[in-house]
Amino acid sequence: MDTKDKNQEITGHEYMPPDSVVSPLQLDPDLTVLAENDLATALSENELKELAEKKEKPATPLQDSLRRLRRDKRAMASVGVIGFLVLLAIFGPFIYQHIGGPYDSALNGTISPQVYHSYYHQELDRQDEGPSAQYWLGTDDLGRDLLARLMQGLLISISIAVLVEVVDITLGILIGVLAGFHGGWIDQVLARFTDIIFAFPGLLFIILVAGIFGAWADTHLSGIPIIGANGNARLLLVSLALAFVAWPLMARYVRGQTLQLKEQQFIEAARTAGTSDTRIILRHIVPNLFSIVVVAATLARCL
Amino acid sequence: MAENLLEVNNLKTYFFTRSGVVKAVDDVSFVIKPSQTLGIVGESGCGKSVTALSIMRLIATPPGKIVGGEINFNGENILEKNLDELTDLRGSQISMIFQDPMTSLNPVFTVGYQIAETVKRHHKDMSNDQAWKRSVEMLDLVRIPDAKKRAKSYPHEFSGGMRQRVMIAIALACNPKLLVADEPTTALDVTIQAQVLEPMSGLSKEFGTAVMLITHDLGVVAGTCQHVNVMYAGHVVESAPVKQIFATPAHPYTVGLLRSIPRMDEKHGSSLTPIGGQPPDLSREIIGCPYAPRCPKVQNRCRQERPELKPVGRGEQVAACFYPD
Amino acid sequence: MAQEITTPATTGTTLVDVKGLKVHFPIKGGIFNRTVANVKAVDGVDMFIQRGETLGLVGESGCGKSTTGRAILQLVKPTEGSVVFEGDELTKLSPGALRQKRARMQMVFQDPFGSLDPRFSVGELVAEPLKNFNRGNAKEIEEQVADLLRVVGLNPFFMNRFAHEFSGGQRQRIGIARALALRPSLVVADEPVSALDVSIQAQVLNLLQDLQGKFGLTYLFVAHNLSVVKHISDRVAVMYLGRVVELSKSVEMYEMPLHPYTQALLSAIPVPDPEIESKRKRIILEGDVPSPVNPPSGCNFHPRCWKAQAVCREVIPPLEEKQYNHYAACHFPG
Ligand SMILES: Nc1ncnc2c1ncn2[C@@H]1O[C@H](COP(=O)(O)OP(=O)(O)OP(=O)(O)O)[C@@H](O)[C@H]1O
Ligand SMILES: Nc1ncnc2c1ncn2[C@@H]1O[C@H](COP(=O)(O)OP(=O)(O)OP(=O)(O)O)[C@@H](O)[C@H]1O
Ligand code: SF4
Ligand code: SF4
Ligand SMILES: [Mg+2]
Ligand SMILES: [Mg+2]
Repeated sequence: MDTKDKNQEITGHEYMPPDSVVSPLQLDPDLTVLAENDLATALSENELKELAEKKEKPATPLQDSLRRLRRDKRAMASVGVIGFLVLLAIFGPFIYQHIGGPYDSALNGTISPQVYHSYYHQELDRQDEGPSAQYWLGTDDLGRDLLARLMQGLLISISIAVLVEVVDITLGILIGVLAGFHGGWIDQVLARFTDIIFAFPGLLFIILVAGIFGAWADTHLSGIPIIGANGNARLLLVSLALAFVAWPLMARYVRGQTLQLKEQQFIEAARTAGTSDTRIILRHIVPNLFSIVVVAATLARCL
Repeated sequence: MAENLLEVNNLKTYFFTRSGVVKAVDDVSFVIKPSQTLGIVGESGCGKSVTALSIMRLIATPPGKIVGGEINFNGENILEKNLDELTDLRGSQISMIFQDPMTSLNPVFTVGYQIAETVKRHHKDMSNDQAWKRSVEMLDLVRIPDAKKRAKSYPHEFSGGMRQRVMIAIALACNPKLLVADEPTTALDVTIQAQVLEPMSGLSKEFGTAVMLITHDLGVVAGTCQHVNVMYAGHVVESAPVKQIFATPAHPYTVGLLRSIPRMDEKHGSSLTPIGGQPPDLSREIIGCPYAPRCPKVQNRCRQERPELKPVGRGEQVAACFYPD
Repeated sequence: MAQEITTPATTGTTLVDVKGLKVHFPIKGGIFNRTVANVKAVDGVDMFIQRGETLGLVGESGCGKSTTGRAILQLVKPTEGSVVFEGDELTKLSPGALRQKRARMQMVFQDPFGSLDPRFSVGELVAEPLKNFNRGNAKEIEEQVADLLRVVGLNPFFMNRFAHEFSGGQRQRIGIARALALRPSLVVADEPVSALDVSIQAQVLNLLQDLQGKFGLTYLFVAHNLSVVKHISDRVAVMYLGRVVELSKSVEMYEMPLHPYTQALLSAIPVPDPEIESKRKRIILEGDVPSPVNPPSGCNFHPRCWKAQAVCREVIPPLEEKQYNHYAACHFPG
């Protein structure tokens, strides 16, 4: 059999000495020359020059999609609207409470805008008014400032959404990836759990939780400084209940996508390169889940 | 009847995409004579499928558009026909088989029914029984064993090679004058490929059907075609009878192609001569000969003017090159 | 089965020795998700690969070529059989030991698009194996990556670019650079050029051949294109339905195939030469490759074989040395 000369020095079961394995590549000088010549074939002179001129750092896939987003006028308009609402919710009340002079209320004496522009203050003689210099959007049927209430409502909605989204995405990815990647009992438990959640009306669950534990939360959790009084504890409770019914759907999407990704050749390629499972999950699977998570996160709000 | 069954003159099919105008087929001319098998070869993306789809008038518009030229079939310009006339033409006069035999058949009908449907669409007076008989006959012709029984099977019960043969049966059921086959065997194994090519070339001889066979396998071309068009970057760069293409290739691209494929009959240890570089990006303006960046024989002139197809002094052989072999 | 395959003692050393390798994929079904049947993707493969050679593995789609390659690298767990690589029985290694061993055996994948993570830059892709095995600090690794890219004919300048900006052939070069990073002794190349255009194919084939000389690599070259396999291989193994049916030097195989299946396969390959094509006689096989779920008894080629006798239906023909260094699994070879 024609064994090539280059292997003649190796006999029996003696293999390449380990240190030649670990040492960095020792390149033949003429090999590099070959490569330089070959280069011309891999990319033509013009293309090289052209690429060299484009000094800018190449875009990562994320930067790439951001750039595309920036070019999409409708998308940018929507981003603008959302940004405005967030800013309004956070800073709006603070600014609004410093606008306007003192007001001589028939019922409450002289009060500053800090009082009459707060969302809970009532002027019972001024119900259902239209917009005015004092009340920019008018008042409700209990004589409260509509704009202040609107901004407060916005804040509540946004914080619930963010809180739910954070819990939903974290739990969903964690459990979904584990179930998809390892299968076995995690997968079984996830499947059964989602079945239960899907069979159970989510809204009813949230109402039940708020109803049963609301009072308890008010008394027990409002002592914690950041939560404070004012029903924030209830809000927290509702958010968690929402997240609780939302994450299994996310986990299912993530699991499905993970199953698909797992079959991709680049995962097998990573394994051949000696990448550990943990690294495969963190470096190869999770980043590639980005798109499905974004889609699922927007969909899940339809509850 | 015209001497040429199909005449394509200066066909231009462009795609108007966001990244520019892709000149997928740019100034392509060729003819197919009755009962001739014309092979079209070339690298991926050189415009083979777009040529075929243009002849079928199946280019998706937008983004595609046939912007120039004419396609004369039996002396009539296909580009001037309206939709009804086209529908009439497709299937009965010209039919097409695609690369993927899995997606071209409807999974919910038996193969016999699908062939019979095609027959009846073009022969309105035919009874169901006659049409069914015809489909069994066709299955038999494409060498499906036990055709009478297998006509009642569903596509999923057939293997890839059998499905592709069913596609041929459908395509030939109405005795078309031209069969356009876009890589009919690329998805199949060699032994199955032989099963498909054999009935196809046999039938085209038997019925006098002309075939336009698109492939990138030069071996298939050598075995089945009489005439060959070599395409590169949307142009036909060489056209010749099959013997001349292999014996005396004229265009440097054809030469390079032939040198870069490993051959069964080569001596062991002989090395391949690859073509360096890559095909050009068709969405950019190409000045001069499109092959110039990769051509070993390139001269200054090649970078400035585009060469036209010209006879190279060996009978029917023509090549688009200033310095042919 | 076919235990008589041993390395001829007089010649080179065996790098990989595969005996009785089986990979069965269970098909689950029914209410209780029980295994109802098995896809016998690899069903008793015997072969050996010698140090420094290229062994071509050919066969039709679905005959188990890729699965054999992946089972040798332990990317799928073999159901049965042994794989000895560099003296170690791979099927018995602990996961940790196996991970260490991965540095010595690498793979080049078929799909130049699917085998590179779209979110990694070229530099990161090539550096990944080096980082996994702690081959130096960040700067040393970057130097090695640059060297590797140069070796496969890419400019290190492109290190920060992403795989999607490259053509199929260039991506395949990136895959090869990655496989070479750890200086393996065995490279399993699973259809490395099938997805490429003919003109690009030759570039990659030549590169693989160059690198084999420079790095002393041993290749298991999986492909369905027999011309390509003949071009690059020293020896060729032909697979049919999960088994190796013929194994010999490639020149011998192409000149004098012993197994009827090999004969049919060779006769079916179109030759790019109209003169030869017009004279050639094809052996057209009837029917299709049977399902690996329910392979025929005895010699699994018998339903399509024109030489089949009664004995073929009952007795599995072992892979035997029919001529010097020419193995075939057939009762009536020649
Ligand atoms: N719908 C489309 N939109 C934009 N460009 C297109 C479209 N269809 C085809 N093209 C472009 O037209 C060119 C020719 O494509 P075509 O499908 O004809 O190639 P081909 O020669 O058939 O290649 P292959 O061997 O891969 O099938 C390609 O560069 C392709 O990018
Ligand atoms: N993970 C899997 N689960 C179930 N069946 C599988 C799996 N992987 C492969 N198979 C089956 O095993 C058989 C052999 O597959 P394999 O991919 O090894 O074939 P191959 O020879 O490489 O074919 P190809 O030329 O198409 O790549 C096929 O029938 C395939 O359907
Ligand atoms: S015209 Fe010039 S560049 Fe083009 S193929 Fe001929 S010799 Fe080469
Ligand atoms: S053993 Fe029998 S059936 Fe199998 S290949 Fe040989 S002759 Fe044919
Ligand atoms: Mg095509
Ligand atoms: Mg495979």
